[in-house]
Amino acid sequence: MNSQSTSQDQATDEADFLSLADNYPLLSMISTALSWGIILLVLLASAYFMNWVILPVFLIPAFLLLAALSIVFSYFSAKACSYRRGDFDLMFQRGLWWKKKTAVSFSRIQHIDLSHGPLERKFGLATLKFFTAGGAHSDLTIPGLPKADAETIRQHILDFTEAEYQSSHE
Amino acid sequence: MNNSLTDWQRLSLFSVIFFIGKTLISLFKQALSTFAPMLLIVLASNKKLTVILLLIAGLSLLIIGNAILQFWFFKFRREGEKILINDGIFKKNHRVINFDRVQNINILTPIYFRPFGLVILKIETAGSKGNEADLSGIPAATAATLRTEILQHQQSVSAQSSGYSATDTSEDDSKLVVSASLKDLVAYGISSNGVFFFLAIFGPLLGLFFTSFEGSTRTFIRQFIVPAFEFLGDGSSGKVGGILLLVSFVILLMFLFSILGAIYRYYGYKLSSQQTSLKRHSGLLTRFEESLKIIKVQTFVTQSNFIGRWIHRQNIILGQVASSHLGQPSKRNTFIIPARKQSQIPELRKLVFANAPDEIPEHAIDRRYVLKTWLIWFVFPMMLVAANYLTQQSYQAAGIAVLFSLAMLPLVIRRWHMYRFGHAQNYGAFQSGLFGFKRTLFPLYKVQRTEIRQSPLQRRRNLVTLRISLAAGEVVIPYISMQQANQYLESIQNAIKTNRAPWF
Repeated sequence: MNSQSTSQDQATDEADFLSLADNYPLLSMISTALSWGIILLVLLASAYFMNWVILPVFLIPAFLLLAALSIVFSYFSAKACSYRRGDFDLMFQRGLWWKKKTAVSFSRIQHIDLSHGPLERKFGLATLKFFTAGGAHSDLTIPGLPKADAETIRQHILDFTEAEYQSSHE
Repeated sequence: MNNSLTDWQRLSLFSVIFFIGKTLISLFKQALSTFAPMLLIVLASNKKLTVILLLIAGLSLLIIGNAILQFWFFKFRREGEKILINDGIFKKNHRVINFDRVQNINILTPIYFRPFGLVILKIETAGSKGNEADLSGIPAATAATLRTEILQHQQSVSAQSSGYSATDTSEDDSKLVVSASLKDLVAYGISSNGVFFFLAIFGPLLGLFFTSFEGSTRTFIRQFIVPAFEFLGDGSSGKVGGILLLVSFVILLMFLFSILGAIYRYYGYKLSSQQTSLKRHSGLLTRFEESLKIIKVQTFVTQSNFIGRWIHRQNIILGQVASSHLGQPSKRNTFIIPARKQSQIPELRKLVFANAPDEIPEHAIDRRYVLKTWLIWFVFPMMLVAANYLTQQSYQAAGIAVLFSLAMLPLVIRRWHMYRFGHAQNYGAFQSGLFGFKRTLFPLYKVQRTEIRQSPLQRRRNLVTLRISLAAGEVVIPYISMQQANQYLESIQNAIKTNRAPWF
């Protein structure tokens, strides 16, 4: 009985989570591919000037295979991310093999950063970063949100904290 | 209000002594990078004595000149509910410290300031990486006035927001809660981990000394140390005896260092409580007078090493908002109450967390922690080491590697046994340790962030690791069931939702 209700609760809990933007997995793949591309370029340039001492030719296919696997992994990893905006808190879960679920209450958020790099701007996405007072390990970052959604979430939390501050000073 | 404080003030001329000390301490902290080049110059020169004297004279001139300039450019004043500080010789700093942001105000009376009635006022703010301000060499009366003004301001703000009465800035209503005798300080010295600071501080210096004078040190050991141990006999038994004696001597020195440190820092320890704050006085040469608002305490930690357990003493650490970027509380953000007996703990706990329950039902973590930790940290690495030795046909070494991993199993079991966690009535408790222990108690509503992690190994049994981030550090509970972690998370969220009291 107890285990049944627990699994039901968990199922309801999971249903409340929203996926990130549909085009975020693609953006994640492109970002990963670009990172690998830069590493490859540096290696090739070094190899060229050092007569292929650093990167023997037979290792190039292995390198490309590793890069391809990493790019595919980044796609599924991005797909596995989801978040939940509750009435009082925010939750974010990610990870394919190593899974993580992070929860931060609105009233513990010190400040919020909304950022969008060149690639994110192209895709109309933004990253939200929430800072708490628990040091660098206690921040929460949610990438791949549609820009409008990110702004709405930020505003919602700012309104909440403002209202809480007002009520505590009345 | 002291109107003279609204004009720009200079520190006392005697503050030059403080600045000299500060520079010397920072030089010794970076002993290797400071003295290594000088040692090279000395070793490379033919006239060693002249070069040494010249270096000492040059360095002294530099330190004294720097201290005088620091004194000259340091100015401060109060403007409304702010303290303005201008300092810096080449790079000018203009600091503004709002009374609201002040976390601790401590008054220190170093022995060299005592005859002149001067003190150091240390103002720390939440989240800052270092002390925001050290007003060193100001009259004791000025320091007291500034502190009273800041506390009164905070009191009035706190009274507005949470209904606290603004009456506890006076000295009269304070009640002595704890005092520590010399015996207590000795107990603290040996039961705290201060013993290891001996190695941290003197280790690099000894290493530098040995590297610089390797030849002379070897000769000294051959001529004096080795003959001194001759009574232990020749051969391997003599060597083992010598090493054991040397290790015992180092351990003894470590404890002595820790005890002396405890006496220097906590001599004449007195902790008194007022309505909403704690105040402590301590110190042998430098008298420390520190105050802490109880609302700012994030965690109540009791800890002891194996000697502390043996002599039945625990040290209490009140965790405040950490400034360290690694998520761990820095030393200055801890408020220590040294060497208490188990029977004294509940009263102190009630003083800090009045609503905390006397008992929180505690659970053990899952026993699979033992297997995973043992396999990953000891069995697999030692198997690799053993395999390497086997390929070199060193069967004895391979056997030792296997035996080592087996010997670690009881320690891993002990570590598992020491893990305890639980939560009740809006408070969380966590214990970890090996031979000693560390118990952390915290109000759930002060939690900043909660994270549930699950590795592929844990998923098969639906186990997780729960990480609870507080402003005073992190609590990591490994190998608990997903259900327990979710319940814990839910309790934290409910506590934050229902408790609107300021967490800081």
